[in-house]
Parts: sequence; structure tokens; C-alpha cells
Amino acid sequence: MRTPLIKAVVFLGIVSVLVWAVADIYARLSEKTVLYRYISDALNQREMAVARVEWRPAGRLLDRPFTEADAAQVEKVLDQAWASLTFAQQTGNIDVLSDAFTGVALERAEQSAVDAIGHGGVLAVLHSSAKPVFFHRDASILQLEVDTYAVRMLIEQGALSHHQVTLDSNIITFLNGGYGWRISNLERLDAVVPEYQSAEVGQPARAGLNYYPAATPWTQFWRDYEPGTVEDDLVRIRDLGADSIRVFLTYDAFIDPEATELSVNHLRHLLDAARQNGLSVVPTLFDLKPDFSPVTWVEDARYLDTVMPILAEAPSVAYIDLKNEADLDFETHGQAKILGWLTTIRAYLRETAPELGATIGWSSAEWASQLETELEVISYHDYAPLDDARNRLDAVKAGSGGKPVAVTEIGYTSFDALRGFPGSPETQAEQLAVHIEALTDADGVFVWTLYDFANIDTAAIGRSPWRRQIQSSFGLLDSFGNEKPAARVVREAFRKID
Amino acid sequence: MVFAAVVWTTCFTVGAARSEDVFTDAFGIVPIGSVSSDRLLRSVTQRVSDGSNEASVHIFVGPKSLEAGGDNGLATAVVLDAQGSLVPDGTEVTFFLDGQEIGTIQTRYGIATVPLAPGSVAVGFSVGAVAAGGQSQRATYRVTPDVGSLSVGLLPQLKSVSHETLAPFTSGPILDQYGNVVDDGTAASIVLFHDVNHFSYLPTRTVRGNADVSFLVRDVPSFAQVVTNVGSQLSTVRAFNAVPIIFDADLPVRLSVQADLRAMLLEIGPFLTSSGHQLTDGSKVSATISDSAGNSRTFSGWVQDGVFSRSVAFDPRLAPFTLVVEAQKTKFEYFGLEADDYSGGSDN
Repeated sequence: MRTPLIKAVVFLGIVSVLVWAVADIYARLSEKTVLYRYISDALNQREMAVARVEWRPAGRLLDRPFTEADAAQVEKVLDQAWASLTFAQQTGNIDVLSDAFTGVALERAEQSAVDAIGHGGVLAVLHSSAKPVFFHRDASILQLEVDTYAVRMLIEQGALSHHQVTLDSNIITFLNGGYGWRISNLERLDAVVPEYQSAEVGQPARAGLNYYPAATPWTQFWRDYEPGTVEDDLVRIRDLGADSIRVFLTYDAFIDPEATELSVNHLRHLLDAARQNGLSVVPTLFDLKPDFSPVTWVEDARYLDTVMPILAEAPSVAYIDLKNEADLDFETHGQAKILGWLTTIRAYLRETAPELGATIGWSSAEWASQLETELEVISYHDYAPLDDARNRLDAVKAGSGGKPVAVTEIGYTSFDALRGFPGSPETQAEQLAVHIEALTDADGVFVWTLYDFANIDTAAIGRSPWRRQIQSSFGLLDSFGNEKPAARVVREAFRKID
Repeated sequence: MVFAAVVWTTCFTVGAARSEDVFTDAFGIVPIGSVSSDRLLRSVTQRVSDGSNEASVHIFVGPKSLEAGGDNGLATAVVLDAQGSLVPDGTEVTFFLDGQEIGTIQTRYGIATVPLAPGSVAVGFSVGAVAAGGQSQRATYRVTPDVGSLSVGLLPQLKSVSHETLAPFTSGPILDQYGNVVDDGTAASIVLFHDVNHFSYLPTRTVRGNADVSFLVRDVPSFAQVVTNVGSQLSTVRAFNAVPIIFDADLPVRLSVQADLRAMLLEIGPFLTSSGHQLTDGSKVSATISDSAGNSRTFSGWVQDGVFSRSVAFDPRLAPFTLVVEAQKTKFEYFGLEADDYSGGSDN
């Protein structure tokens, strides 16, 4: 009786390994290296378009009036200069520099790219503010005082050895030789390291749920947002005894020019609906962001410029989760780069919303201490063996410097493939009860997730049928909204949390 | 004052990375032990020339041409030290115009400027600058005549010209209010107004201050009014006269029967002028023919190869015919015309 079962399991295992191997080979064959000549080819049009220059009035009479048309032309060159400089330092491709730099500045830019490739440094400018100080009568020479929000990062031997954010004052000289404006001189006059106060953590978020509607998880959430559905779901969340929700601000939904306005309105609605239901919100930023290269950071700054004013003014926001499970991107993008990016984002967030505290939702306790000094809340996800849950929490709390520690994802699948494997509704309930009990001393526990998902988002989960089945069944409610045994358990557990 | 760009930072350590001082400038960050000497040197504050460390001076002049008596131009010097960085504020720059010193200005962000007044004389100038041991190349600019104040003339015609010859027109010297001769190549035109509906437009460009053009007198009335135009400036109006065309006394005429067309071919010409040439192709001719029965018809057309010809639907039996021809305001009359080859037979 057992033999057929064993054979079936072995067969399934072999098939799974073969499928994985083929997928891996296919992915490797799809990689290729492309050398770009023009920065506009190397970066997609969205990355080229989002950089921003704020213009300040000249304040004195110039030899030639500096018009809006002039500003529009120069702004493009300035944005292109920063982008191409970062790109050249990342890739060593110096051909792109000559479209924005000339003369001495071009030589120095090329040298900086050589140094960057050789020693691991990179400069990214996230924001510029410019004031014309000289404009030649025939429009052949222009000088600007340009203040920049500049990030310098040094990665040595695969580790982030230096990260510095400065507010730089620069003097930039442009020449217009008939081929358009080019930067002929770029000199930094001063660099100030901004000082920040630690932020306060907002409303308590002790007992929470990770939330997507049943029909529209992940990338579908903001695209197919239904206010009525969200309002009903928040009522159910409240009924389960939760005092907070964790939501995900998908990257594309808040950076794509066509989608952003609608997404912003939906975000406002969600925050207000949460407030009306007495729920705190932990917004998780940059979800499903595909690339962390410094050349993309200017776009990330624009993303923050879009969402942070809304989050900062919403009384329901408890604190910000900078990135979901950033450590899972270490292998693909490099740990040092990811940490550099996170530090940059945290710093920029302090500029745009200094009153909001932040955390990073690490995928496991192992990474919880990363960047601890930059955060107001320490958080991690706990999908490790249940037996050591309390020990893991204790270890993280010991290293948190007294900061609140939240476990922002715990969960178990109720998918029963075969006689309780890999899970079942009953074991899900049992495990959640034990887990929440083990995390009594945490400053917040969030269950993944409110609903089962009938249509799992392959962009987030992948195409593996096995994985999709498992991931579709973590809800406390099934995809029709019926309570599973886990719902009762969580309701009781949350009632004890105060 | 330009500050040193060396920023010493404490390290931000992550994981197992070690501490190290770094060098930062406008272009990025480098470990201090790895920064090149050039990159390090250009960050040093002391950039004033000491003779062995000459500055490079780049001169720009704009606009490249100024109008006599008009707005000032600007000469700009961009001064860089030996490393290519902007010299410190307050560095003195001396400007020269055709070798004469015209001002010493202190730099701000490496730039010094001096206005250039155009004056009233239209001529070229060269500008240069020296600073911190360095000297610029010379930049040139021109002062052009004040086009808005040009006085335009038209010399009178000395004598009448014959048709089929070139009539010269010249404006004479075109000067602005300061006496500057207009630039060569300035667009001009001479216009002949023949009558209310007809004019001849002759575009040209000035050479050595004059607008000259030649006009072939052909197929135009013998009188016109002429004016020169440069920009918005017009000269006084002059009269133009051409010698009228005079034909030779004999103008041959021939009528021949075209039996298959039941018509006659009227051929008039060649039209010979007293100047010794045929009337030019395209010259207008009108002819009125009348038969003995009192039928009359008028035809108009033009000369080709010196001859006017036309098929006329008249019965040759109704001879003799009367013919009146008009061309170039000259009338010819013929009486008692008969078809040359008419034998008196009936039509087929």
C-alpha cells in the first residue's frame, strides 16, 4: 500500500527537479550583454523623463533674459548629465558622457567612470535646484548655481563600505557651441551632510493583517481597486480583532504616468477608510521594484515625492515599511547595492517626511539587525520553524537597541495536497495559535493574509503550479469570504493582544 | 571662494567592510588611497597662477556683429587654472580691443565680462584678454551699418534704350546715417512699374555699396516708373524710356486656300524692325479681315519665328479682302487681297 505512494512522491520529486533545471538553463541563455552609445537607449524613456530640476529666480540682472524655454533645454541636459554620469560609473560605458559633457568636465567625468569601475564608487543625484548666475548675451555661455541632493556610495569587495548623502552646492558652466548645451565645467563648492532627528512611531500596530482583496492581489490591487470592496474588507479585518493592516504600494502603480493619478486617489481612499475603521496602516513601499541600480534611484525619489505627502498627512499611518523582504534581492542584485539603496531611500524619506518612522520588512530574523541605526521599528517575517519562534524574537529584541520589534508576516498554508501535506485548514489554525502565542512579546504581529486568492499573481509568485497552490491558501478567509478555522483562532489571539 | 572638495568621512560599515578614508568631489567618491594625483590636485584650493602655473583664458564675444549706433555687445572671459578648474573669485582679467586696454574686471565663478560699445564706424574689431599669466586667443566681431537708416538712391537714365538691348540700372552709393557703406551682399531690388497691372521685379545684391542690375528691354511698354528698394527703404521714383519699335515699311501678307479645311491660311510677316531684328516670339498681333460681302472678323495671337499665321474661315470667292494688322501700336492696312492659289473652282 505504501509502495505506490512512495513511488508517486519520488516521481513528483524528480519531475519538479527537472522542471526547475530547465527553467534555470533557459534563464541563463536569455542573458546577454548590450553596449549602449546613447544614454536614452540605455535607460528606458521613463527613467529619462522623471528627473526634476527646481528653478530659482536669478536674483540679479543677467546679460540676457533666461526664459522658460532656455530652462527647459538646460534642464534636459542637466538631467541627462546626472543620469549618464551614474550610468557610466556603473557600467564603464563612457560613450554616453559626451552628449552632456564637453571639455574639462568631460575629461573629469570619464576619469570618474574609470575610477568608479576600478574602485567601486558611484554618484547618484536625486534632485537638483538651479539658479542662473550668468547668461551670455548671445546665449553661448550659461552658469548655474546648482544645489543637489547627492548620494555617494562605495562598494569594496562586495561590501558597502561607504554611503554618504550630502546637500551639494555646485557651480556648473554650460557652453552652447551650436550642437546644444553641454557642461564644460562642474565644480562642487560645498557639501553639507544633513542632520536628522529620529522620527516618532505613529499609532500602535499590534495586531495586524497583511491585506489584498480576494480577487485583486499584488499587481492587480491598485489597477483594479474597488473602493466598496476595500471598505467591506476593512470591516471584516476589524471584526477579526486586528488593529492594523499592512499594504503594498506596487512600484509601477505609483511611477507610471498613466496609472499614478488614479493610484494616488485610491491610496487616499484606503487610508481614510482605515482611519474610519480605527485601523493603523503600515504601507510597504517599492513593491515589485525590478532594479536597484543607482541610475534608477532618481525615479525612486520621484516615487517617494508622489506617495510620501499622502502618507505623511494621513493620521492612520503607523510607520513606513521601506521594502518587502529586501534580503531576497541580495542574490540577484548584490547585498551591498541593496543596502546602499535602502540607506538612500531612508535618507530621502527623512527629507520628504521627517515625522514618519520607518522599518524594513526583512524576510527572516537573520537580517533584522541590518541598518538598525536607520530605523525606528525593527521588523522581520517569520516563516522559519515554529519551535524557535520565541528564541528568534528574543535574539532580535536583544539587538534592537530598545526599539520596537514587529513580526510583520507569519502564516501557514491551508492547502491540502495529500492527507494534510503540505497543510490543512486545521493545521493552519493550530500553527497560527502557537505562533502568535510565541510572539507575545513582539511589538506587533501581522498575519499573512486576510484572504485566499483564487487567481494568484504570477508576477509576484512565479509560474510554478505547486508554489501557486501553496501561496493561494494562506488566508484566514477563503476566496469567497468564508471564515476558515484560522480566523477564529486569530480572533481569539488578537483579543489577548493589547 | 572655492572650497576644497576633499571631504573626510567616517565610514559607514555594513557587514564585514573595513573602515577607510575616502575622497569625494563633484563627480563621485574614491578610496583615498586610490584617487589619482590629477583628481586630487584639482581639488586643492590654491589655484592662483604663480607664473609657473598659467591660467587658460577663453574669450567669447557676442553677438558676433553689432549695428553701428546700436546695442552693446559683450566680451566674456572664462578663466581656468592649470588643472582646468575655475579660478578663484576676484582674479583680475584685463581686456583689450584692437590692442588697447579697455578694462580690468574681477572674475566671479571664473567669469569676467566687459561691454563692447559698437560706435558709429562699420568695421571689424578683435578682442582679447589676459589673466593670471594666461592670454586668450583673439575673438573678432564686426560693426555693421545701421540698416534702418540707409538712404537709397537711383541714378537717372542717361538716354533711351532700344528694345532687345540691356538697360542698366544703378542705385549709386547706399549709406547709413553715419556714412557707412552698406555691406556687400545686402538684398536689394529694382522695380519697373509699366502700368497698373504690370511690373518687372529685378532682385539683386549690393556690391561695393551699390545695387546694380541690367534689364533686357523686350516685350514691355516703352515707358515705366522705376524705384530701388533695400529693406524698407525706397529711393525716389525715376522715369524709364525705351525707344519705340519701328517696323520696316514692307510687311508681307499672304492668303492661301486650305481646300480641305474650307478655309484660308493668313500669314503675316516676317515682322522686321528698323533695329534689324525680327519681332520676338510671343509679341502680340491682332488682325481684322473683311470680305466683299461685308463679313468681318478679328483674330489675335502672337508671333512665332517672326510670322503671325492663322486659318480664317472665309470663302475665297468673296475676295477681294481687306486686312488691318496691329502690332506694337503700329497699324498696317491692306486692300484688294486675294488668295494666291485660288483658281475660281467650286469647293469639294
